Amino acid sequence: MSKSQNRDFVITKPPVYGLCVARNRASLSSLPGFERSLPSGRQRKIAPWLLRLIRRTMARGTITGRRRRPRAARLAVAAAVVSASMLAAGCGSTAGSRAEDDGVVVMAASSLSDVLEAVFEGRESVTPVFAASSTLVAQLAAGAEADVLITADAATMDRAVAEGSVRGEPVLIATNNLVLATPAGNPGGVTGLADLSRRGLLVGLCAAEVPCGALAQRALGEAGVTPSADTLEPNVRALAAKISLGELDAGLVYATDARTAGLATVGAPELLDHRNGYHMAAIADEPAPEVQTVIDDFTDPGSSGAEALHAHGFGRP
Amino acid sequence: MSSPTRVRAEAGTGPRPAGRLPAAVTWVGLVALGLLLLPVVGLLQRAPWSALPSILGESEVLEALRVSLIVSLAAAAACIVLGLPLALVLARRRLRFPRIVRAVVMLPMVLPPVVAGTALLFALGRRGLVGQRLDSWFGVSLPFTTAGSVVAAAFVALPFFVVTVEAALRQAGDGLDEAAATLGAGAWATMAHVTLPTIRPALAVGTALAWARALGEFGATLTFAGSFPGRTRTLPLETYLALERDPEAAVAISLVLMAVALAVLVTLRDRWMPR
Amino acid sequence: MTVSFDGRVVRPGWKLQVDGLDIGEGVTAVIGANGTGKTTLGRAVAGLDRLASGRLEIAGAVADDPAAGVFVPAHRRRVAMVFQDLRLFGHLRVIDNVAFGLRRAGAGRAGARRQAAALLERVGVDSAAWQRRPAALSGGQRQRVAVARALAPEPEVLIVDEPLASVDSSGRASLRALIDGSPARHTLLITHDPVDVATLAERVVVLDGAAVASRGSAAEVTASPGCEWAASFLGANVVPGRAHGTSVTTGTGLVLTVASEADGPVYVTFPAHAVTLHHDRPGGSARNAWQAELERVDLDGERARVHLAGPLAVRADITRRSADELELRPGLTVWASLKATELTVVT
Repeated sequence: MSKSQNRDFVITKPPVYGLCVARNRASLSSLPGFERSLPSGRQRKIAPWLLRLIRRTMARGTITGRRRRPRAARLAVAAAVVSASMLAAGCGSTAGSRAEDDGVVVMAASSLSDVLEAVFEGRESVTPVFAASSTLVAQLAAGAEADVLITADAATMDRAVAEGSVRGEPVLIATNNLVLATPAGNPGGVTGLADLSRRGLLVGLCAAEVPCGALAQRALGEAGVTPSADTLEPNVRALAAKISLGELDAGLVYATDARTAGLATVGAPELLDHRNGYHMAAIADEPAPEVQTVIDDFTDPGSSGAEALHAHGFGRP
Repeated sequence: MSSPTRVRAEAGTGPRPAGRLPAAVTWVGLVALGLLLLPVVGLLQRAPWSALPSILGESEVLEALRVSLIVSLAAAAACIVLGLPLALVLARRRLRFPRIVRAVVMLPMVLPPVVAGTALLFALGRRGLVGQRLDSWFGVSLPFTTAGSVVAAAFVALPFFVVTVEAALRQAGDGLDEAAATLGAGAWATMAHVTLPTIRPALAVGTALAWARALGEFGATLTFAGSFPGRTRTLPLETYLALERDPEAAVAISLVLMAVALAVLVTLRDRWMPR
Repeated sequence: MTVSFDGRVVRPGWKLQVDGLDIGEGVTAVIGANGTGKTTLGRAVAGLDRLASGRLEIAGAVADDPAAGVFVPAHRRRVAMVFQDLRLFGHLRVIDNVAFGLRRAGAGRAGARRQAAALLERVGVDSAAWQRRPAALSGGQRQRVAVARALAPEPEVLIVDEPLASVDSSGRASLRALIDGSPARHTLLITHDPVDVATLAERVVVLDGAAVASRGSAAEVTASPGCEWAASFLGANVVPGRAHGTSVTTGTGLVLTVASEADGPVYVTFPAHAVTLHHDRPGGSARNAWQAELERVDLDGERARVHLAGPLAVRADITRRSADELELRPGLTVWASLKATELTVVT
C-alpha cells in the first residue's frame, strides 16, 4: 500500500463544541442556536488556548502528523497540558492571543491535502489542517482558530462568510471535477455513469452534506441517473480509499483524488460540466503580512502554489 | 496540640485518623468527576429542547435509530454467543501464552476504531483475507451491509464483555464447579447450573457494556460498513453528518444516545453491580 | 469393599506418594501436619486431582489408572466431598443446594426437594432457613447444609475435609454424630482434631512428607505414629465427661477442674506431656490429682510414655530421667496431676 492510501483512512474529527468555547476572530453569536451559550468572563479567556491545543492535537494526530516528529512526544505534552489546564480551574488562566509557534494556520478541504503538504513542505511557519469543507466551516463557527480557509466549493465558503467566520474576500484559486472512478482493472466492468444504477454493483458516493456529494447529486440528477449507492461517505478521501481497496466497484470522486489514489477512470463526459471551485479567504479582514504571503502564493498567477495545484491536476481558475 | 494526638504521632500513624483520604486526593477526584460531567452539561445547555420532538421525529433520525438498535442488539448477542466461550477458556484453561492471548483480546479496546475498521476490511472485505473466500464460495460480502455493521460493532464491543466476564469467573474460582462435579454434575450441567448463575451479575454488566459500546460505535462501522440510510447509517454516523447540515439535530441525537446509555448504566447499578 | 489407593499425585513443585493404601468400610481418619497432602488424597479419591501414575480403585472398579488410560471423572464417581470452605452454591436456596445432587441424578424437582427437606431435618437445619440463601445462615448451619448436600446423592465414599474448622463448639457434637451415622460406606475424615480421631475413627492414616507414615487402628497408630507430629497429636488424651460450670465429671466419677465453663456432655483433652507423676499427693496449684495404677512404660529415646489405668486411662509423657528417679514399674500406684489450664474442653 502506498503512503497516501494509508492517510486516506483518516476520518476527520467532528467540530469541537468544547467546554469553554470562545473565539476572537469572528462572532459566535452569528450562528443560530449558539448565542445563548456564549461563554463569558474567565471562560472566554482560557478557551482559545484549550481549543488550540485540542485542534493541534487533532491536526498532528491525523493528516499533518507526518510533517513534524516526534508526534508521540508532542501528543503527550499536549494531552498533559490539556489535563493540567483543566485541573487548574476547569477553565482559567491567561488571556489568550494566538501563540506565535503555530505560525499561519491554513484550514483546507481534504482533497487539497496532498498538494498543500507538498507546497508547505519544510515550512514550519505554516500549519495546515484538513477536513471536509463543511466540517471546517462548522469548526470555525464553533470557535476554532485559523488564519486561512480554503473550501472545496463556493457554497461552503459562502456559508462561512454569512456566518461571519470569514471576513476576508474569497478568491477562486482552482477548480476540480468529479470522475467516474473504479479500482485498477475495473473489475465491475463499468462503462459509464448509467452503470451507477446497476444493481449488484457496489457503488459509493460522498454524502450530500459535503461538497463532493452535493456536486455528485447535481451531476447525476442532470444526467438522469438514479444511483443505487451502497454507502455515502462523509469525505472524499475515505471514498477513494474504499474504491482503491476494491471494496467498491465504482464511485464519483474528484479527478485529483482518483489520481492520487491510483484509481482507474471511466469516461463520463457528463461530469465535466460540473466543476467545483476552490475558494480561499483570510479569516481576518486585515490579515497579518505573513498570512497575506501565504494567500498571495495561491492567488497570484504563476506563483508556486498556483503551479503546484495545476501540477496536481487541479484546473486553473 | 492535645496529648493523645502527640502520642499517635509518635506511634507513627500521623495526626490524621486512619482511613481518611488526603484532602488533595479528594479534590483531584472531584476535578476528574467534573471533567466527566462537563461535556454532559455542555450538551444539555445546547439542547434545542422545544425543537426536540420534531428533530427526533425526522425520518432520517428514526431510520438511524432503527439501524442502531438492530446493529447494537445483534452485536451484543454476538458478544454473548462468542464472548462467553472465550471468557470461559481464558479463565479456566491453562493457556500456552496467556499474556499474549489476553493482549489480543484487549486489542480492539486500544485500537483506534478507524484502524479496526480498516483491519476488518483487510480481513473480511471483498478482497480481504477471508472475505474473498466468503465472496467467491458463498457469494457473501459483508462491507456495506447491516451484517457488516454488526461485525464491526461486535469487534470493538467484544473485549468489554470478555474482560468483564473473565474477571468474574476468575474471582469466583473453580471451587463451586468442583463441588458440583462431586455431586454428579457433568461439564454442561455444571456450566448451566453453577458457573453461569454464579456470575450472572457480571454477565449482565458485560452485556450492557458491550451493547453500549456497540451503540456508540462510529469509526469501525463507517470504515468497514460505510454509511447508507436505513442499512448501515447508525445514530453516531447520523450525528456526524447532522453536524454538517444542522448542529442542533446532532445535539438532539446525542442527547438520545446519552439518555439511553445513562438509563442502562443506572439500572445496572441498582440491580446488578456490587454496592 | 474397599477404596484402594496405590499411586502418585503430582502438582507443580509437589507430589503425594501413596503406596498400597486400602481404606476399609467405616470412618478412616486422615491426619498429618499442614501440607502433607491430606486434602490432595481426598481430592484424588473424589476425582478432582488425577493420578500421575499408579491406580485407584473404588469398590472394586478402577477409577483412575493413567497407564491403562482410565479416568472416571468426578461426576461419575459416587464420591461426595464436604469441602473445608464448604462451597455452597450462593445462588441457590438452602434446600436446592441439598437437592442439587439428586437433581443431577435425575430426580424431579418436587421429589428432590422432598428428599432434601428430610435430610435437612435430619442434620438439624432449622426449617425456617430452607428457603434462604446459604449466606444468610450461621457457620454451623452452613456446615450442616454442606454435609446434607454431600450425603443427598447417597455416595459410596464421603470425604469430609476439616469438618470442624468453621463450626463453633456447640455444633461440633451433632456434626460428629452426623459423620458417625453417615450412610456412606466409606468415610474419609481429614482432620486436625484429636477428638475426631478418638471418637469417630475406626482407622487412622498418618501422612508425613507427602507419603503415608503410618496406618492402622487408632491404637496401632498411636503405638507407632511414624512421625513426630503424629506422635504428639495422637499422644493427646481425650476423656469424655459431663460438665457443670468449671468442673467435669468423668465416667468413673473423677471430677476434673477446668479453666472454661461448659454444661452437658463434653470431651476434655490434654497433651500427654501435661500429666505429671508423683509418689505422694501433690500440693500447689494443680487441683486435678488422682491415684492411678501404672500399667506400662514405653521408653523412646529420652522420652518415657507412661500408660495409666483407672480411674482415668491416660498417657503421660515424662523424661526418661524422671522415670528413672520415680523408679516406675508396672503395677506401681502413683499420683497423677494436671493443671486446669492445660485442659481443653470440647463440646
